[in-house]
Amino acid sequence: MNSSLKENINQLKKMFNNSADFTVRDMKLKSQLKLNAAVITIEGMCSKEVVAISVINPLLEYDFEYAKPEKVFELIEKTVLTSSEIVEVNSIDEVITFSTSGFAVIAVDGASKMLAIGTQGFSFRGVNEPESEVVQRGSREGFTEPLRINMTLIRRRIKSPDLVFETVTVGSTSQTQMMICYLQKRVSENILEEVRKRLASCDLKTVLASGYLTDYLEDRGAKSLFSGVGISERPDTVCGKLTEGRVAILVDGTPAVIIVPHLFVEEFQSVDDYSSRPYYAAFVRILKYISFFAAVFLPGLYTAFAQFHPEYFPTGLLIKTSEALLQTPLSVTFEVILITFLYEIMREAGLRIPKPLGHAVSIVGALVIGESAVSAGIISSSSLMVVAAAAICSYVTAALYPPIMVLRFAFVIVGGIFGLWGIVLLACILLINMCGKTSFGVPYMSSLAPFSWRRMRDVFVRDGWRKLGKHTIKIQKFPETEEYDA
Amino acid sequence: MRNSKSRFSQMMIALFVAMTGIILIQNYTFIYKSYMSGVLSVIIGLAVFLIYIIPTRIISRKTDLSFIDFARRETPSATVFLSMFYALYFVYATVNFLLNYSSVFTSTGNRKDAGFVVIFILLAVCVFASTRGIGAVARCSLFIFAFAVIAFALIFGGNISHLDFSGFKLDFDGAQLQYGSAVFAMTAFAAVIFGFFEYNGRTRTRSIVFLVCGLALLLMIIVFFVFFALGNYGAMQNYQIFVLSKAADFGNAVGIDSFHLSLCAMSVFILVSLCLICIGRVVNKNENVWCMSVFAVISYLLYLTADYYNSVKEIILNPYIFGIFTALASFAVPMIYITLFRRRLNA
Repeated sequence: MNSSLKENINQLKKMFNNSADFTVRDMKLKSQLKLNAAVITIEGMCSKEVVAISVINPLLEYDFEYAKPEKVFELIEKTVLTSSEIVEVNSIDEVITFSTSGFAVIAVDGASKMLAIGTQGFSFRGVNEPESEVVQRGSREGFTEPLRINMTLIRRRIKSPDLVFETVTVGSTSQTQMMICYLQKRVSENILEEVRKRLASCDLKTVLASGYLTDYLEDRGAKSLFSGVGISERPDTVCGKLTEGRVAILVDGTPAVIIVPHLFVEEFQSVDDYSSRPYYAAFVRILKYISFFAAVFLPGLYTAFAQFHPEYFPTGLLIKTSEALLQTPLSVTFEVILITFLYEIMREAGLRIPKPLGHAVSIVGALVIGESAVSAGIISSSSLMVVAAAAICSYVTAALYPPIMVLRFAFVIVGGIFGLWGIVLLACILLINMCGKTSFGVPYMSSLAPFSWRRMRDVFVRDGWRKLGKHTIKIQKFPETEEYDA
Repeated sequence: MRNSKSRFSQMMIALFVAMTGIILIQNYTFIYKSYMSGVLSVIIGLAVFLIYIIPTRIISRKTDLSFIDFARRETPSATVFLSMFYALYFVYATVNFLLNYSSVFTSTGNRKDAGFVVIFILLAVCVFASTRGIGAVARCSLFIFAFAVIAFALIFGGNISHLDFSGFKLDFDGAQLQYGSAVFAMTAFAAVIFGFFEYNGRTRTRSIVFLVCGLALLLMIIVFFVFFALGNYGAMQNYQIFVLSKAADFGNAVGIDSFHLSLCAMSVFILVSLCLICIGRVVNKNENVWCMSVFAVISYLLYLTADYYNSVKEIILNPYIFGIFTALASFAVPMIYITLFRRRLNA
């Protein structure tokens, strides 16, 4: 860095292209040598009040007498400023990183270093309950956008020096700050090293959300509809995963925290399971698994049975279904695909449009597409009911909705062309794909396949805490985990 | 990645599913004659399997290598011939299973699709599975095993009310015993697959015992229900397990043949995938999509030939020829290696 204040400021202005939010407060220090100084900030990123009280005022009031620039720099750092967060900055790049992160940077003419003072004061959303992971009994706190607040939410739950946050920056343009978070004594060194390696391999220019990184964190050669990277907005969930030896990645600007490795069975676990009684948790878990299967297979099986194997329907149901299907002009397969497609459009529209208009979509969906289409004989009531039931089931495991949606269509098409045989073969392909998938070397279907009796105490059922508490689960100790075997 | 205990157990489950597949697609209308002969043929069939796995087990215990790796190490110059023999054997076995499966599919299913389309799709799916490796196939077989347990429990549970012990006689039928043993001995095919994957000191005898006992129990129950629940007329029908599933009733609900058809498709899928993986090992191109595709195409062409020419079909489906071929692949060839390289084996 240049020791000339003017040159440094000019260089920064040039780099920021005279951006409107780039502000420089020039000042003359109380000094016999008439030294100049400047405070560099980015408007909106830091609190003006804090900058004035804890940076500008002390600088202007202190008498530096005959101190030379280097001595002035030292005095500012050691004596003048009262802030707890002071960092020495040695390059222009660092100045940019700190100033854009809400720090006020002090530059003194003649000194070849600068000082970054923690004055962050940008506005952000408060700590609210995450809408995607609502619980009945449990904490109402969810992650928010600023990284530091998310770190605090985790630290407040694990008050141990074992908990480590490692800073990483990704995105050559966005310079997004991230924290790799883990428990030193629980984490697998191999997995941690792999996380660092994969994050370092991210060559994106801009990273605006944690979702950008999932591609880089997935195991290679494991293309699948299912994700081996978990996402949670709940600090209690993340803390629970950390105690199992997993690694969390907090990305600045997003409340969604990445958790790796991530397994299939985890999609069916929720914080509520651990707060409620074991028998009820087991009931809910089994319900979730059944719902998942119904969401994926029900429309496909219905299509296959109605088109190729009507004898599998009980007589009463067969008569009613046949009657309903006979009155409609479309084939069952096309009918089911059409209803599912319309439902997906309505769901997407309901998700994106302003809330007050949501009711209109509901009315159009329920009355026009539901009632009118059935009464006009365009679609059959049984097909509508099957698609609706599958749609509701898919929301029980909301995190799995994307793969469920694709698979539902695939099973309907295959069931419509090949019947039950096609569904069985597609299920085999799906199983092979899922069984071949790994997340950081841990088989994605772990606990189920490879099967483990010990892990079963927290899969379909949940054992009481007395039993669960006795056996610490460590992700790297799962059977057939690459690291475990090596 | 090393072999682990759980992986070996999974392999055993995969073999169980594969053996179930072999049994499900066989057409044995011989059980109705003599119950005791049926039971004895099951015992003989599984005893053959146990005998066949002994040579490869000896090799793996002493050298920590699978049979094919041991053979490659000891006789590198003969590898080509050995590979050709085993590749030929697996193609032959694959076509045998495919012919049997297409026969089950067309005669028991309600679909009248052309068998060649069904087999083509099945082979394509098996190629996909085999490229994912033995680990994925073995893990997948756990789910199919769970499905098989449920399906068989429903099939047998639905036939309990049909049991009738009035015609039971303690007699033997030599011809039935001979043919039945040949059919059940087809499960010994699993011994060849076993020889390709059994290595490393972690393999457990307990798993093998469980596999054989489990399969023996299943086959005994099948024979029991075919003989006592179906009666003479039912037992004379083709594909008796299918008939059992069709006859199963739970109050108003009668017939769960969809479970039988699904289980057939799933177990044959595992069986053919294992064959393709073994071929990959034989030609030293593990999980190679091109290698698997080439052998799948060869198998498919042979299937079409057999489907068109009855004489070819008869040769491929003959249980005695299959038995001799299996004996060579799983017992004779490894025994020759054990005899020739006894000293190196003990070194």
